[in-house]
Amino acid sequence: METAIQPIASGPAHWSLDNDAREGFAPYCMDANRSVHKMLDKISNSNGIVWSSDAKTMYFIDTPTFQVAAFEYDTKTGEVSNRRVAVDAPGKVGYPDGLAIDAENKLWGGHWDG
Amino acid sequence: MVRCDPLTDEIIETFKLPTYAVTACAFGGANLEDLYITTATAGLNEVDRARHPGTGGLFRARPGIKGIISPHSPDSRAVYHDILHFFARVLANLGLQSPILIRRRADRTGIHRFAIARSDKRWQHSRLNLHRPLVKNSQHSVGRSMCLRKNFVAQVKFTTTKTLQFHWTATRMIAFNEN
Repeated sequence: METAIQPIASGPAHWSLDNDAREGFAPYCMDANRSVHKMLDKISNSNGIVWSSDAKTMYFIDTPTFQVAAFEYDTKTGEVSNRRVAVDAPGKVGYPDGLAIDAENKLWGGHWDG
Repeated sequence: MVRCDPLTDEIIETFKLPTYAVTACAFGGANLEDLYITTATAGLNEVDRARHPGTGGLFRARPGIKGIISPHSPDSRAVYHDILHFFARVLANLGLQSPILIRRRADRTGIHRFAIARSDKRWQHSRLNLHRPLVKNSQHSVGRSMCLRKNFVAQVKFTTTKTLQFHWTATRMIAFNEN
């Protein structure tokens, strides 16, 4: 059952969060050759991922960090770099869970216990 | 729920739901004008559930600003036949006639998809109307939502062994499709 997603035409890579993975709840990327790569290390609980409308920024939630992290995203290779904190929420609203993006490139997110 | 600016680390607006925990959100609807919000029951006892009557519900908000289908999103092009089928079964198990209709569609790949169509005439075009869940569900957590070519789907985690198994399958199906 664990095989490929249809390769997408609009980009080189296809992302998914796998919170069932034994070795870590990390985000994975599948390329057009259907090989799967782990994209980020030291992730506890992947719980949201979206891209900005220009596809150059990837937003990512690792719930226990209380943060939404932003990465520069290489649309050709699918690689991420230059992590920064986009939204820092400790004590404000609870554990972040879920992520969506609107037409003004603002993020929508839910919270556990908040 | 919050709306925030990722460039300034600023929370623009906060919205309260009658529930304890939001699990996921996704824009859906014909023009991505609806924001679907799933919530959890996990970790709540009956007293807590009574205090949060929307617990485990699926909510739909109309924020007044449209969403976008995120580039590279795993959910915009991929095939999630089993998840959709699963969700359709869940809704059927809930005896859900309204406000959500499920229509079966076949797309170009020939794979059937289930679309959720709005049929709730009572829907108020007000700013985030989050008091009444679309799906009332005090027993199960709803989560892992996504937008599939502008159709919204979510999966529901059941507490029985059998359907939990289905949940795990469905979860894996988020990353991989049948082949």
